[in-house]
Parts: sequence; structure tokens; C-alpha cells
Amino acid sequence: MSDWISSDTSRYCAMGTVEQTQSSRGTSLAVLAINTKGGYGELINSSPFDTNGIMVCLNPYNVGNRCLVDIAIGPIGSEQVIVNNLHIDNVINDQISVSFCFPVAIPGQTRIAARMQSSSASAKLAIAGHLLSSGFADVSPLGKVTTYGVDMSDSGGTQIDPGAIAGVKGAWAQIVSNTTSPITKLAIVIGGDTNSIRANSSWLLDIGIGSSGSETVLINNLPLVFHENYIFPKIIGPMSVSIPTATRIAVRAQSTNVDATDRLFDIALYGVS
Amino acid sequence: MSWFAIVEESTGRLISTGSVIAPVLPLGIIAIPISGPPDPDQMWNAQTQQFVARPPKVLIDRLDDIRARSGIIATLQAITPDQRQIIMDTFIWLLGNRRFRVQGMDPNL
Repeated sequence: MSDWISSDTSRYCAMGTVEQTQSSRGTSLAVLAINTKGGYGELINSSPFDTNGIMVCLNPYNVGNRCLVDIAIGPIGSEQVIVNNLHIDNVINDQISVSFCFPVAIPGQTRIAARMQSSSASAKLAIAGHLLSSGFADVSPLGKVTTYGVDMSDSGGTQIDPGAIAGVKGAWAQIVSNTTSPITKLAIVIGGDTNSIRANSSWLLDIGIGSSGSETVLINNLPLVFHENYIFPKIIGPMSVSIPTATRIAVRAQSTNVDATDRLFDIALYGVS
Repeated sequence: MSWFAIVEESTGRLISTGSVIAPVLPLGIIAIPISGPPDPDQMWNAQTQQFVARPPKVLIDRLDDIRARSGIIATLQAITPDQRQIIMDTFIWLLGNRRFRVQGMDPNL
């Protein structure tokens, strides 16, 4: 008797792709005003099955800007945001594409849409993705994604300053004073790419929990590099963690770059529960 | 919500910023009230133990790198101002968004 692999019943459904155009990319989102959410663009009008995961690919493509993207479900005019403020930057005259994957459940026959805000009123971003459904033996999906550390006033994340001494951890920067839900999976999103003119650099990033002055390192030395125009990786995780409600989360880093501006990057955290 | 800078008293080194501080700080660590989350345009000064303006970024123009190459100035001076302008405009077009660099970046593209 052959093994019954849990992924035997895996299903995938693309959404937001615009195959009929020459762009060969996702649905375009735009904004009307700086740092203000624009209208929703529909990714799929009815999901074909119950999902236990969603993957979205964000591709800002026209001007250097910071973007925050919401994923929502529901009919036109009454959308409910299920993942808010996915953070991505890009560089002038360049483009990047980053995939975010979250193990969240969405019922079948659900309309899914997205909207964004940006630090540039002329920003454009293409979004596409997949609905994921895996076998019955797979891990149960989670229900909620909570975003921490984004700055709605500039469509960016929380700035991390590694300090002026190369190779020495800088100060902890508070991302959230009290988490509002327990976190079982944590995704870390890195920004700061609107500063594309800097020497090749590398960083080591710590995620910590606890009060200011008595932080405990939860995840240490996550590596980042800047090469050519971008800091990589753009997203780390989601990785399994166990962070209770009402926890303070902070981040610190060390860098090879000690320039007062070029050593900086920003960060947003996405807690799945 | 009150914000604090957590600082090593003897050196002025910034250890943390936040709105939730430990009930008891380690010996030699002090909490200095600050107005709110650190302004992205400011950085910590360990000597004065306060946030100060971040110095402006210094960019180097790759046109200056070109001008610094041996013989290029003499070559440009040997042609008319209009021809010189055409060449410089072509360099600017060719460099595009790589026209500027910072100290430590290779001038070569």
C-alpha cells in the first residue's frame, strides 16, 4: 500500500493575474493621495475552495516609493481587511517583486481584493497571488495576521539604527509595546530601499522581547545584505514562535556600514495567530 | 504614553528606546525621558545624551570621477563648449540613476 501523502489533495488557484495584457503581471493598484489608502482592486471574485493559506506577490514598478498593501475579503463596498499593511519599497526606475505567504483560512466562494497606500501619489504596484489548499493532514490554518511597526504617516516601517560602531549591536527599537494577540508565526519584512545609493553592506538583526532595558533575544543574528539597489532578503518567515499577548517586541542590529544614513533600514512585523 | 531612552550612564551609549521600561534597571543603566519614538531624522549623541539631527548624506558625482581621469580634462578642453556639453549630457544620460555614489562605493559601474 502506498503512502498517503498529505499534499495529494493540494490545490492552487491563481488570482489577480492579468494574462490578457502584455504586462504579464498582476492587477495594478494605484493611489490618489500620498500616504492614503486607494480603492480596492479585485483579485478574484469568488474563491473556488476553502483555503488554508494565501500567497501574494507585490511588484511596485514605476517610481521610488514605500507602499503598504491591504488584503481584504468581502463584497464591493464592505471589504474586511484580513492582512493589513504589507510593506514593500522600491527604487526609482527599478522594480522588485516579493512574495508573502501567510497560513490564514479563507472560506470558499469569497471575493478577495487589495488596496494600497504609498509615499508617492504616482506609485503603481502590481499584485497577484495564489490561494492554497493542502491536504487534510496538514497543519490547521490560522485565523489572523496582526501588523506591527508600520508607520502610516510615511508608508514605511520602524527605522532601525545599528549605531556608529561597525560590528556592534545598536540600541533596541521598540516595534510594539504590547502585542494584541498571541503570535505563533512571525514574518519579518525589511524596507529602506528608497535609499538605493549606498555601499554594499551587511547587517545582523536581533528580534527581542521584554521591557526596555531588559530585552531578551528571541531570534538572533538574522542576516541582511545590501547589494546594488536593494536590501535582501525582503521577507523572513513566517517562522514558528510563541509570543504571548501583551508582549513588548523590539529589534536591534549591527552593520558593516556606519554612515549615519546608509546604515539605516526599516522593519515591519506580521504576527499570525 | 511616556517614552524613554535607556542609556549606559558611564558612556552615554544608547541601549534601548521604548514606552515600557523594566521595573528595575541594571546598575549603571538610567532611563531618560524623551518626547516620543525617535525621529527618523535624528540620531543618538552619546556625549550629550540626547537625539541630534542626522548629518545630511554626502553624495559624490560620478561626473567628477570622470573629470578626475587622466587626460579627460585636456580632451574636453580641446573641443568646443557645445561639443563638450553634448559629451557631458551623454555621460549623464548613460549614468542614469547611477550618477551619484557614496564614499566607499566603487566609481566603476
